[in-house]
Amino acid sequence: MGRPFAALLLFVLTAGSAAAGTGMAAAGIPLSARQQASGGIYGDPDVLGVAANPAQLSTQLRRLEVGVVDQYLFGSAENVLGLGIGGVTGSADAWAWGAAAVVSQVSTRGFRIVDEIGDETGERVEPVARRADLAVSCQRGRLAGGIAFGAAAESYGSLGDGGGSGPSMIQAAAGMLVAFDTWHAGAAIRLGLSDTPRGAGGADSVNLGGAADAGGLRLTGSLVVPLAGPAGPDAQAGVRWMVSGAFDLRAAYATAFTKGVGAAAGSSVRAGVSFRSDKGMGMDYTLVVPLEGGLGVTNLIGARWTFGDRSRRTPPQLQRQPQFGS
Amino acid sequence: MHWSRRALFGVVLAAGLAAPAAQAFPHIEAALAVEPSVASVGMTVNVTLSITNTGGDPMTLVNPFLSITAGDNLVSIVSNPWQSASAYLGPGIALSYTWTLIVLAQGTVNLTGWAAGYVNGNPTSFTSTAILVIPGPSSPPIRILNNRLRPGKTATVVLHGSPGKAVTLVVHDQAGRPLGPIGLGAVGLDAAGNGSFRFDGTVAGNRLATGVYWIVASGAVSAKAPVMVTK
Repeated sequence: MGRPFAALLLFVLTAGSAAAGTGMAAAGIPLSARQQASGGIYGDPDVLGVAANPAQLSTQLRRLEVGVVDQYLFGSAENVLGLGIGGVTGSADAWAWGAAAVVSQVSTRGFRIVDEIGDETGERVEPVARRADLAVSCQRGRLAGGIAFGAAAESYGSLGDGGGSGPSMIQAAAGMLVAFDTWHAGAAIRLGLSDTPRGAGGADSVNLGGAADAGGLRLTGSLVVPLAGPAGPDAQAGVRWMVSGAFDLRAAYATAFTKGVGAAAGSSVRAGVSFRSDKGMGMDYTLVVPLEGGLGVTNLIGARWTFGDRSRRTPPQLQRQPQFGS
Repeated sequence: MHWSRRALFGVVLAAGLAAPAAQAFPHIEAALAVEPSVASVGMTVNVTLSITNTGGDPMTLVNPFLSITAGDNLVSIVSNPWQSASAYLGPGIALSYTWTLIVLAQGTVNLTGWAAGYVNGNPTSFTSTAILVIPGPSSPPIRILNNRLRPGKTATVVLHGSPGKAVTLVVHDQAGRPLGPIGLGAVGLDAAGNGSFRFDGTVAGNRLATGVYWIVASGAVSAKAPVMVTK
């Protein structure tokens, strides 16, 4: 147990060390390709989403799930890699327990620093942010809960005056999920535990949402409310159509607001497709297109492997997730 | 006293084509500003050298100088600052001198201004630099000057796009989330398609935390550029 924890810590700390703020890339980027085209994290539970709401882990359909994601944001100017592994018990009738680890890295295309008169200073910013989360969860009947702890750090390359070491932080999340026959809903809170200034990076936030099945579709909505900084609420709505047992289609709309500004600061439309094999493997692709020009599209591709049958342990509605190997 | 362009460069040449090095009188500061800092061909711009004395030692026989260190062929000086024969910069006093330039062609003009005189009987000078950007058809749609933004400083977002149309700038974090607009709203580009915004690292009154952000232009310009904000 000691070695994996040390490896996670090393993974984070090699990105940076100085505690200075929370404008961190790794703190706010959602990872799941499926969820980004589903209307938020509540459409389809995913091992890569447990940092946002660790209660999702207990609804995992099979005993073990491994997920990877590769995102290309801003027209490929930024890359996000994520890896998650989660396991859940399914033997006990009364309680089900789960544990997961998720690591991610955000790297942005480097750029040269120029001064006020346009001259290059010789410095180059090479931003890299890393994050690691450990989550545990429990489920009893229709109710699931979980907690997660995450560490994140950011660095900017070899800059003068010590500017290459970015902020770092420790964060905790607690969440719950309740599932009934045709709908489920959840909520979670993420808070920074370190004494760094809380602010613009979206470190502290509340998210809530739910999904309902109707007419062969799954309708999902979610809301993320930052608790500090200039960012305002971020709302998403989406629909998933299970075309067959082998693949489904997704579409979503997202809009974000700024505190103190009445109009939406930005909106996007998302489309996705997911494939599944009867061997327990799944592939997801999502395209995010901003409605305001200039930002560039985001492409996400994800893959999942699942092992072991525990579908009988999940609440009724969540059993209508895409069934791997069944 | 008026300084002709020829006379100005005569002074610069005599000084070895470089502004004299300032000596250690931290209570006297020079600041060179260009307004507007992004211009189009045919426009006139004002270049102002301000000298401020916040200490106790006066500066005597103050003379202002302006040197175009790059892009000399892109502008022409049409008027020089009025200058008394023996300007005196006493404690708590600020002097300013303005040159008017007309823009002749596209490119980038680097300007160096300095004030020479005497402090405690020692000859000395105080120097500052500024840039004038004149975008053209081949200019990038967005460019950020001073893109490592420290507290108390401002970055200049230089834009080039569809002439006469409006541009809106929004700051996004690295998750792609829009944090808010820069300024009070859309700003129109001039007849040559040029414009600029000042960005002080705040959005809706909030100072951004240390990190890398994207400044995204939409409207007459559709482009983005990164900026690093430092606490």
